[in-house]
Parts: sequence; C-alpha cells; structure tokens
Amino acid sequence: MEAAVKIPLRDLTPASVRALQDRFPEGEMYIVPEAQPVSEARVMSEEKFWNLISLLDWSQTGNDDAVIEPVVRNLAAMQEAAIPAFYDLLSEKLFLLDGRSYATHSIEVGSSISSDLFLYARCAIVANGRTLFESVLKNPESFPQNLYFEALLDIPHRAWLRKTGLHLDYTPCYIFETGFNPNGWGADTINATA
Amino acid sequence: MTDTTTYTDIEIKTARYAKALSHPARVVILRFLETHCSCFAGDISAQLPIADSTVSQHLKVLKEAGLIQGNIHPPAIQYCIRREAWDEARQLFEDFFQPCC
Repeated sequence: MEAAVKIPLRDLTPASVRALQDRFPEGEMYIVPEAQPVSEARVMSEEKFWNLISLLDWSQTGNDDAVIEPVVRNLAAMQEAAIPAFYDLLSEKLFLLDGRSYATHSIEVGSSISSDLFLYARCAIVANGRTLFESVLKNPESFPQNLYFEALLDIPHRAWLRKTGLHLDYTPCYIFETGFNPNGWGADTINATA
Repeated sequence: MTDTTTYTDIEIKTARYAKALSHPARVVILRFLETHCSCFAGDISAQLPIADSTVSQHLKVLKEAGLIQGNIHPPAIQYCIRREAWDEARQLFEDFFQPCC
C-alpha cells in the first residue's frame, strides 16, 4: 500500500483527479504551498541544469563517451547532492515528453517505435538544449525524427562513480520509462494526437 | 573467483531468465502480460500494490532479460511478452527441471 502520493498541482487534470478518486476513494489531499524540489531549491537550479547540458561536446559526435565527458566532469566537481538533483531534473524533462502526441510525431506516419527508442529520442531532445526542449514540449509536431541520444542517461551514474567511487543507487523523482506519464498516455489524450 | 567463460550458453541463459523471475512482482507482471497487452504502464501498475517507480524498475529488469518488450504503434502503446524469449525460457526450464534420479 502506498503511504503517500506526491503530485505537483500544476500536473493535475480532471482525468488525473478522477483516476486518483478511483484509486484512493477514501484518500485525503494535503497541499504544500510553494513546494519546491529540495534539489532545485539548494544545489541544482533549472539554469545550472541547462548550463551543464550545454557542455555536451557535439564535436565528438560518434563517440558518446566523449560527448558527455565535459558534463560528467563538471557535475562530478560539484557537491554530491548536485548529482541526484541533476538526475531529478533530467527525469522531470524526460517524463514531460512521455506522451502519445510526442511519440506519434517522433516517427513517420504508419511506423512504430520501441519504448526504449522513444526514451532515447526524448533524451536527444533534452540533450539539444533548453530551446529545443521547450519548443517541442509546447509543439509536439516539432519533435525531430531519427534523433537519439541514450548516453544522456549515463551522466548522473558516471558523475557519481567518479565523485564517490560507488554505483549510484538513487531513484529520481519522476519515472522516465516510456508509458508512465498518465497525462501523456491516458485515454483522454488520444484525440489530442494528430 | 569463478571464470564465467567456463559456463555454457544454456547455463548463462537459464540463470538470466531465473534472475528475471526472482521477484514476485515480476512474476505478477509476466502473468498479467501473458493475458493482456497493456495500453500503458499504468495498467500494469494497477495490478500491483507497489509504487509506479518500483514497477518501472521491474519492467526494466524484464526488458533487459528480453522477456518483455514495449512498442508504440500510434496511438497505442503496448508492453507485451516477447514470445521467442518466453518460449526459450520455458524450454530451458523444462530441460533443467527434468525428473532427477
């Protein structure tokens, strides 16, 4: 049994409220005003996150390890808490792009895509920076096709290993595996797909 | 330390599938997917009294073992049993659990 469910108010839709009522008919809601992820409040702001992403070295395209190396190096040089905080923000961006309308536009009409490849396509959007991310987020039809960057997922793990010598055992705030964003994949989003 | 290169492909595959089955949540997920191709991951989560984040970790283990696959055929998304791996695992376990003397 889940002890609590944490959902930002801005993510609530009529459908998600109904789903919560169905799932927890006797549940109660508490609102934390001005709640802010600990990670964002202290050690990793949106600006810091995107600044790190901008360090990806695309001159090394074809060698993913080399592309992500500047980000790994800079993240590992920050305080330990910055690494899971970076992972939280990365998971949030990938979660927000997890939806039917984005998946539909990431491939040619009539074709299909594996759930893993769609995750790597979402990684590519984030890896290409804030401008593209925000553009695609607002306009799913601008989701570029045939662009994938799986190595983005390695960054927090490599930075943590370099910083501590240990494997990162941390579950980020948002689930970024394909199909876990109910706002993106719920039945009420089918008509929103072009 | 044991050198893993001394194991046969069959032994390695059997161990990999056994590891994938080594949590009751993953057994429940496989049993569910055996009879349903889920619309989205939330359908799987609804079958289990555990957090979505835990479900996603179990799905990842099952995917890495090759036992399930996720596919998007717009507008549908489906997590399904990967039939060839399922049949291979069944054959390997049948061979492994032959009656002993």
